[in-house]
Amino acid sequence: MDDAEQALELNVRNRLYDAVNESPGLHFRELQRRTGIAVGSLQYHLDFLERVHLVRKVREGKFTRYYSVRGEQLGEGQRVMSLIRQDSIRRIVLFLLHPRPRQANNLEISRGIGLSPSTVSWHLQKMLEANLALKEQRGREAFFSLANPVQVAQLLVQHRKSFLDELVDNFAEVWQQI
Amino acid sequence: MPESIVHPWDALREVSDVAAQNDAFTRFLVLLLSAAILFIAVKAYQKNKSERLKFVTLAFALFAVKWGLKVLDLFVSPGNFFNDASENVFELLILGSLFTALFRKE
Repeated sequence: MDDAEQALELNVRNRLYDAVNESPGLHFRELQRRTGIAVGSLQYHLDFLERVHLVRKVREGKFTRYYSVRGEQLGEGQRVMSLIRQDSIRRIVLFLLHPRPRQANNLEISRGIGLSPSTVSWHLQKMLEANLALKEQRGREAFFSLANPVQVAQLLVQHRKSFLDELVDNFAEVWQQI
Repeated sequence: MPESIVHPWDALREVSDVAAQNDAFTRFLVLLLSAAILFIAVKAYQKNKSERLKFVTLAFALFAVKWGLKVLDLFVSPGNFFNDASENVFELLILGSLFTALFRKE
């Protein structure tokens, strides 16, 4: 049993963690109101959950808000996964990942995966917006790399393309290449 | 005895007779296929959020609606409820959507 699981064995802490998970970003007083835990005890358990990396606190003005670390990782993973399900983006990701994580400009990626530079540019934009890729400007050229190659590699292993995924990708590809 | 006149299109008569006999079945089949393609188009649009795919999806939606009406037409009043003129409007809109999709920039 790891620290996180151990931390949640206690009923009051489990209840507190559920409240943070259900409504990420609640501030201290609101958490106190919802859980009914006494102020001192609430502070102690929140500090404990933060120490075992289950909860993260963010100071915003006079409020301190609490977020679930696992919830954030899950949300991020799902966003990245939904992009990886797209065939063209998966090809770009594989190009930037294989044989080792690297940087490449639009033209290199376009030649490497056989898509037009405008299509690659469009997909790279989506990857940048989702924080899946990073952009580095060198003079007049922009170079792209994966923001978190290890996480992406793990998600690629999890990804299994279904028959419907294949159909949808083929359909989109045919119409986008015209 | 009157002399029978042979037209060049007589050779196709048998084929068109078979098509007419199976018209209802063909309409159902086209409707099913168009609904399947529409489903894939909607999925592709949701996944890619591309402007081009939006118009392609619209074209397939119109196509499916048209064939839905053609199937309905079999039961209501064949040829009157959904006549050639209405069908032409659908064709125009479908082609218009596809044409727009072709010129749409992402």
